[in-house]
Amino acid sequence: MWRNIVMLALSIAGTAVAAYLTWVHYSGNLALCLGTGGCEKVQTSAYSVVMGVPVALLGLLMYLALDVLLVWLFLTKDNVLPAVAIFGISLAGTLYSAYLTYLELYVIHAICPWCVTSAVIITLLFLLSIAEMSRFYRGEAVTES
Amino acid sequence: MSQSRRATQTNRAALVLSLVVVVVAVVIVALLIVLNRPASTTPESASNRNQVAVPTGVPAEGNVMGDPNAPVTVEVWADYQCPYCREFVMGPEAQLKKTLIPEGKVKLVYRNFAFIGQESVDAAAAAYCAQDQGRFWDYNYKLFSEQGAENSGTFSKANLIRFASDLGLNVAQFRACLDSGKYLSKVQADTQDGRAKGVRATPTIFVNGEKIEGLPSYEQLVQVINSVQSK
Repeated sequence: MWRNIVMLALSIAGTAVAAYLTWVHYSGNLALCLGTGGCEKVQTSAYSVVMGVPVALLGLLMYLALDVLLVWLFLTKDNVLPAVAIFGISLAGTLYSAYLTYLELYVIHAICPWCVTSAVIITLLFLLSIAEMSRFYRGEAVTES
Repeated sequence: MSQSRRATQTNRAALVLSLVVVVVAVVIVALLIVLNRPASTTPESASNRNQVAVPTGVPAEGNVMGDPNAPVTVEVWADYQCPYCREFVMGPEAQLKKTLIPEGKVKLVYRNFAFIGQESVDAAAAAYCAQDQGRFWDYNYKLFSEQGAENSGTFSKANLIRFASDLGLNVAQFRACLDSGKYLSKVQADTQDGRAKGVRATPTIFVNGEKIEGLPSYEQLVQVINSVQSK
């Protein structure tokens, strides 16, 4: 119960972060290096787009899907479908975020704080989703009723 | 009894489902990573090999490249350690060198805004030492080509001398110039000058005084060039 609420809160926070990054991408700010530490606007690097779709938008779609699935899970607590979907999506999100963070550190040489925030959120969501799934492995979810 | 069997079935179903989902997630991420390779990198780095610092027949005097009487001046304020400045040099600037500069419509001016660290200042001073031998643009291009992580020793004195040697400069003369540190104050003055002109970040580009802050695409740059010409 509490876990569901925490996960939904994290997912909504992630949605906000991804929405902001998507807005930054489309608002057309140019990439530059500022005196105040490193280079800004990782979102505008050549890596920020996959087949014409901004990575930030992919993130936004992912978080929106998680929002819906988490509400579904909350309403039907013992349904394995939303739980396993949340598990899979957050796993993919975590792996992809790890790759993006690697790019920031070793290829683009610039860190985008909001991208790191999103990476942390999705990793937490993934860890919590494992705990959520473990209910079904133990059969807890079924015997509870 | 029947309840516990139902539970066991669910366990197995949930486990199998999770495994399938793990495989699907890994495949999707692998696919995204493969597709994420920036399309521009491959052709760009391939064409880099054929790129030249100054196209043949184009005049280059000091930090100015192109016809001195060209109607449009593109003044680039940059730091040799700034990755977006490198992207500008390898992208929009390379395209200017193919068309508008040889056609005498644009001249390019390089200005130092050396603010990322000591290696930025050292690199900028080294480029002036190369200018003493009439090779500013060759050295400028070499620095951007060799750019590495910020203040990691990429522009150490040993490397700066190696670049000079790679370009066939008079190494003894270059080394003496670098050792004397005679251009360090000039680089600082450049950067001060930039601040006075409102430069806050790199790259900053002035097209006949029209300011572009950050890395523009070639199309955006040409748009500004056209707009200042029609004025």
